[in-house]
Amino acid sequence: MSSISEQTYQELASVILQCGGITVSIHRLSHRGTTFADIGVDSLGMLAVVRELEHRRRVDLGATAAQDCRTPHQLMSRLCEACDGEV
Amino acid sequence: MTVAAVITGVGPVAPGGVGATEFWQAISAGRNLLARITRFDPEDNPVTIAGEVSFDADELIEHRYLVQTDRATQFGLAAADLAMADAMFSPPALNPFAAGVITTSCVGGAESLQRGLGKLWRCGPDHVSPYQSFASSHAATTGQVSIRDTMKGPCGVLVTDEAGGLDTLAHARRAIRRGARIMIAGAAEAPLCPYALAPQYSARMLSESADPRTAYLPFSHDARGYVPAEGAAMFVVESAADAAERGSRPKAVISGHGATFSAVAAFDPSGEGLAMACRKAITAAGCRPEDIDVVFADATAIPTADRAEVTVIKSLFGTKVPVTAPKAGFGRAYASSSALDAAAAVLSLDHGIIPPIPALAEPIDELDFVVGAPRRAELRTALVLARGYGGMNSALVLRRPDH
Repeated sequence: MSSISEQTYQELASVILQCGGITVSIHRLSHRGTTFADIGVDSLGMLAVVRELEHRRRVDLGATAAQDCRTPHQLMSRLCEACDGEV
Repeated sequence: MTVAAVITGVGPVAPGGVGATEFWQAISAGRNLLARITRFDPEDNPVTIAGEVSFDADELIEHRYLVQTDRATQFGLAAADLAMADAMFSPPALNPFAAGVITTSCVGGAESLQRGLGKLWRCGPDHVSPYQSFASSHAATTGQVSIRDTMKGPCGVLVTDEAGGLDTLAHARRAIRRGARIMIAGAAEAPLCPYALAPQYSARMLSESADPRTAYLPFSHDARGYVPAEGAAMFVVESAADAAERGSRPKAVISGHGATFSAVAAFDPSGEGLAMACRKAITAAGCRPEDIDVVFADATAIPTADRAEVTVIKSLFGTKVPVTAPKAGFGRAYASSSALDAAAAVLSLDHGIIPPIPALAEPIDELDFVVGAPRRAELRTALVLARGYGGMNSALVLRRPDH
């Protein structure tokens, strides 16, 4: 699995702002210990974030991605896999 | 002894005024704030005049709540903030389970529903926000206020059309009597979108006048229906003892409430249900009709409903009681209309001034209408009236606290 670029976290931050109305720094987002709950993204917000990423990248992250990925790191890893490492 | 429930905070969000100070300035001056609709292009709609709220949601509402709420709920959240600030109360409450929220709405989140349906048909189901699952619900405002402000006590939602704004205050009082320590109560509406207005056109109760000066003339021979408006009003309700302990000055006592249902297809033309609601409210308040110092009328500007209301007021109070309807200056905001009337009544008791009906050249009856200019008066007791489409009638007696 390739490493996740800062640019990808930047995109995730903009998706979280768009879908959840929450401003979060790249630094905090890319920290492995940070969870979506810590940031304040609720369960419906997770659904919206996952769906928006799928639209933007034209990928399928799987039906349970919003429940499975508790952290931004886990979600970005899944995105990385879905895009064959090209994120 | 029965616990006295008092209003310690008032939070109006109305055309012409966000917050008690601005709202009072607008209504006490009797300004006409009606204008052509700008929320959408009303060109092909029979109704083109409305009362719109000038509202900067970005400034007043935290972003995370903006993305998941309808404009109605945003009004409600802002109104709750204003009411709590007015009451000098900062959530969370010491005991969140003793703090509750009761709100009402007639239209619910119609605008977000319209947007969601548009996206659904235009782009497909993948483009509808997951937050759509509750954004358009009538319960959304209660839910969001209770979540944001950690109010885990008695929460509820009423849907009784315009009567709801008064009914929530009665529910809040009941919750206080059952042991809640602080209640947020009120109404929120944002009905100025084609989807919300369209189902109302066939009933021909909305004014189709294109002239803001003459579009909404309740109790006038020229009455031609009401002008729709948006807005909210929230209140902080608590026991007199708690208010005293917190050092928050009670602005009004919720003295009596009566609600009836006439089970008709429109506004009850007989007025019987409204009269009974008035009698119940006055009896519950332990006062007599002659104790009422001012009546805030429902004022639909639908000729049969206006006639019924005038008959009720005359039969119970004679022709000497001052009657006003400040909403004639900014429109009828459905459930928020009566909540804004209650806010106007609280401020009226507080200032000793009756805000006027902006214009009423030829009244249909000889009641003592307060018209054109505010009237100074010794006000101890106010009666607020509201009727909903379908036969809901509500009457609320508010009293100035004894200081």
